[in-house]
Amino acid sequence: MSSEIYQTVAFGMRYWFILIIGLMLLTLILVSRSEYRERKAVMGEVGQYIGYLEIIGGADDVLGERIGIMKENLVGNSRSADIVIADPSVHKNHAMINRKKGRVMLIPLNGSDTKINGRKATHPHEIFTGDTVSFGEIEASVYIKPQEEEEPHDDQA
Amino acid sequence: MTIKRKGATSILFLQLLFILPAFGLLSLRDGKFDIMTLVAGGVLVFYNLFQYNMMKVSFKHIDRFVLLAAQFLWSLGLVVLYRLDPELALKQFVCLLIGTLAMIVMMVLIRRSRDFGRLNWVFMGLTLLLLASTLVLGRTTGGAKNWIDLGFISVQPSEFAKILFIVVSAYFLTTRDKLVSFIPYMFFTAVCVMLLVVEKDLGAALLISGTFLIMFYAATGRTWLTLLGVGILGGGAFASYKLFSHVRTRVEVWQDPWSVYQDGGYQIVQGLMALASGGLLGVGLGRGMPEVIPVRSSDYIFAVIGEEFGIIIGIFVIIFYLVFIVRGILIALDARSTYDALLVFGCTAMLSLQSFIIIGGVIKLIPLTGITMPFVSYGGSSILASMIQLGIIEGVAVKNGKADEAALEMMGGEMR
Amino acid sequence: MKDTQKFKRHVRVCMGIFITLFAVLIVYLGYSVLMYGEKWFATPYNPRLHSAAESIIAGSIYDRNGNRMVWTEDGSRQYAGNADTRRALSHVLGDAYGKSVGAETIFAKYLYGMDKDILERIKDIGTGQDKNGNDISLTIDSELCEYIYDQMGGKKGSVVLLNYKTGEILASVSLPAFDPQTVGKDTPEDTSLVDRATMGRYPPGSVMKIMTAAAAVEEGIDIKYTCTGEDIIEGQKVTCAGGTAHGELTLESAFTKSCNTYFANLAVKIGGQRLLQEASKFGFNKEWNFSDINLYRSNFEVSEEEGDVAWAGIGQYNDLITPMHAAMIAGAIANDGVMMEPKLLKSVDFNGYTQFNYTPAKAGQVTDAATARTIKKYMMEVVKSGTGTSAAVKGTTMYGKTGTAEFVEDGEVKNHSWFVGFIEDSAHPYAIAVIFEGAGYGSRYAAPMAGKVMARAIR
Repeated sequence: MSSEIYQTVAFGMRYWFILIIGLMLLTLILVSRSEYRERKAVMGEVGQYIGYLEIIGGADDVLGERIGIMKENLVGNSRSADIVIADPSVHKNHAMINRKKGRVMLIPLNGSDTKINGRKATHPHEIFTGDTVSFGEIEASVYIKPQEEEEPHDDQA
Repeated sequence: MTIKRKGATSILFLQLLFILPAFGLLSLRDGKFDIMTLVAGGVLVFYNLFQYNMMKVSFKHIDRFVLLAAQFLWSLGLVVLYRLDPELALKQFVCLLIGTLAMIVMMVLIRRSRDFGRLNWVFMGLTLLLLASTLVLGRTTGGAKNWIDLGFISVQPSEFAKILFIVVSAYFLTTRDKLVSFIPYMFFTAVCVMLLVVEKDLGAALLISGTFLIMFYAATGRTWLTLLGVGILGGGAFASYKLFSHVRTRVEVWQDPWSVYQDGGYQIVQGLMALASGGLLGVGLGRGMPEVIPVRSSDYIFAVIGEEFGIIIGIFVIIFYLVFIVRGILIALDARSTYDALLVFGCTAMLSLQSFIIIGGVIKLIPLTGITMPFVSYGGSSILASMIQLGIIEGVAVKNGKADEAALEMMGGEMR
Repeated sequence: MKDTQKFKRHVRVCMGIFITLFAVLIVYLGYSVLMYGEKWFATPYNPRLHSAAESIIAGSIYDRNGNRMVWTEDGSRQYAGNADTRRALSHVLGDAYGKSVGAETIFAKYLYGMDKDILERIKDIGTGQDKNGNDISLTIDSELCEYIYDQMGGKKGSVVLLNYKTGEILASVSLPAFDPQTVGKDTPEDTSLVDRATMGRYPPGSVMKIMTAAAAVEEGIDIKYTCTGEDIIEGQKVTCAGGTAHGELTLESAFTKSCNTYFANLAVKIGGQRLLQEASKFGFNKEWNFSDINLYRSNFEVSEEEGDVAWAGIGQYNDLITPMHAAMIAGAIANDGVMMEPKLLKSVDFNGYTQFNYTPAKAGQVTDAATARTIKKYMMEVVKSGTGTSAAVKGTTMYGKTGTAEFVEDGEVKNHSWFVGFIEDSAHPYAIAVIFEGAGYGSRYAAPMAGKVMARAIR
């Protein structure tokens, strides 16, 4: 009699196994896909940054914040800017930071209060890692990523 | 910016819902309830959970989905093996434990080194030695001379030679540019394949030549040369068809196994009947007749799965392999050095070729070749080799993750 | 190896290739098991059938009139009637030892109750019925089969009778036959295990003229030709039966008198490729995949030589046909060109409940209705005044075509005796095919047999 019980139970459990394994597969695909997409989006953004500005002075609430620099950026205090610094002393179109031919230029706009290493900047000026730039009251330290290169191989000294 | 790596708790839970009922069912098979079977199921569940969490904690950036896909595959394998013979399942589980160790070792190795440089020449020699060893010390099973008996265990050196081949290939294909410098490497490949053909291990020969062609194409992009290589492979296959009677038999059997039922068609016919018997839903775990299927625990395990679990789950298994492969390729695409990328790509390509060839052979899409289903089939060397390849893939995934994390943190983001 | 972008592209290409390969794997797996699974399962090589036989009481097999032909008693299969009855039905029923493939094997899943679903199983365990398989009713008329077997008088050959409206097989007899009760112990040395109806591939001879004539009618070709008893077509000599000169002929008279030289010229006029196309429509060269029977493929081919085309058009060269297919073609002509799928299983019953009733299915359209009606007219003339007069049936009109197919055995030229035909009777829409292996002229042996069988069938 018990062999019949086994036969029937085993026969009935086919549906269970199909269901569970199907769910497992579905979840695996969906979760991995969503993680992949998210990751790609963020890393894609990160990949585009050529460097960052780290806020070192001027307003306590944004102190220490790092803002990525892309190839062409509008610095300003409105949401539509590329580098958003939300401070009243920062103009809507305060300055531009562009990279041309490997050189990163800071371009003050419309008579804004922009300084490089303490000195007021009125014309486009190149900036480097370690420089301190200020927009209005806000001071930030500059970091520019070195150009990418492939990892060397062990036997290519 | 944060990247929140998604948890897979639900998948682990579903795994539990698969393994425990399966073993629970098996425990009722002999009439009275066998507690040991249920314990075995519990051990497997515990092991999977333990391994998953341990890996997640020790290596923050492993690709969890590849690991989960592999876990499902070996769990299914263990369920089927236990149904066939609990002893097989036990041996397989032990090999799995050893395999996990090998996987971790591999991951650490990958983490710490770039490529192996001059060591690759040593690897080449080692590969040839491994492949040649069966010529001398080997025992012949099922027409192929690819096993060596070492007392209480037997090993298949070709499984490990395959991995060394991938390592060596990755090195040569990334450090050389001009075709001329490839010549020693190509010569090496040809010798490997020929050794395998002489030993009649056509499955491994096919795998090495196939992986070589795929890696060659990916690394150099020389489509015409690759196609030439495919042509040479085809020519070689054709020549072996003309020269070797056992190849001719294989092809005959593939075309119409019923007409040569007594001389070799038996295995394929029984496999097809098992699949037909299962139909879409299967006949139920423990209700099929796998005893009539030859090599049912290793090469032909897919037929057993097809009979008892049905074609639907058979298709799910194929899709699990596909997920594994796609994730592997994504890791390769994300790798920071072409050497790492090619290494992962080679392992992924080989695993995908392997699963395609054996499943294709069982369902009579292509002529049958004697190789195992990665992670599912019984076989210490097979599991070990698959785990090592998994280790390589995860190792590079960890490297990728670390580089991603560093870049992200530099920008003020974090990875949780 | 410097260019990472190109490398990534190549890798992506490979990924696409892998995904395609695995998609092919999935599709092939699903398709082949769904399409061919039943065929693979229902073979004598399947040990599951034998093990089922040990634990399940196989159901009984009835004929279309409710006569029980086979049942299980004390664990073994019992047959109705005497040794001759068993032989008459042997190929249709098959045996329980796996020596032949018949209803026992093809419908094993019903006979052993393998098609029950989970609820049925639970119910059956509850009522103690779980060890019983289903009973099946075949479309066969067992008394007709017995009559045919008797009338064939031990001569090698086969007779198939179908209902051309529904596809039901009313009779399928093949001689030599075996005894399913004893075949387990004494495996016959001769060809009696071969079911000539579905596995016997013979040159059709003049029966092929049905197809050639259909092609001619479709193309609107009706040549006028004077037959002198022989003709040379590109170096190959074609003769009429017995060297008879038929004189001036049109398509209808040539068909009625079965003139070889006329049809040889006609075939050449139609052209090898067009004939091949017509033959494909008629089902030649097709790998049949029917659910109820294992029908072997019929063969038709042509070559560049006109002589070969000529011979192919009159049913020689490499033409091969099974008696079942021949009956299907006759039925198609009767049925306005629609060929029905042959059905052997009428219904499946369990405990008095009918669980499954067959449904007729179309196998194809061999020609258009107008052409079919024209050919029908010709076939009427064949029996009225042509080579098939001995096939006439009192009380109804018999339509048909005789065939005398040449073949060589041990250096001797012999003839298969063929007749295919049908009657127009809404109560008995039957088509028939008769072949006597190596017997002689179609009109002398197969035609009268067809007449007798048909008369009996409509009684």
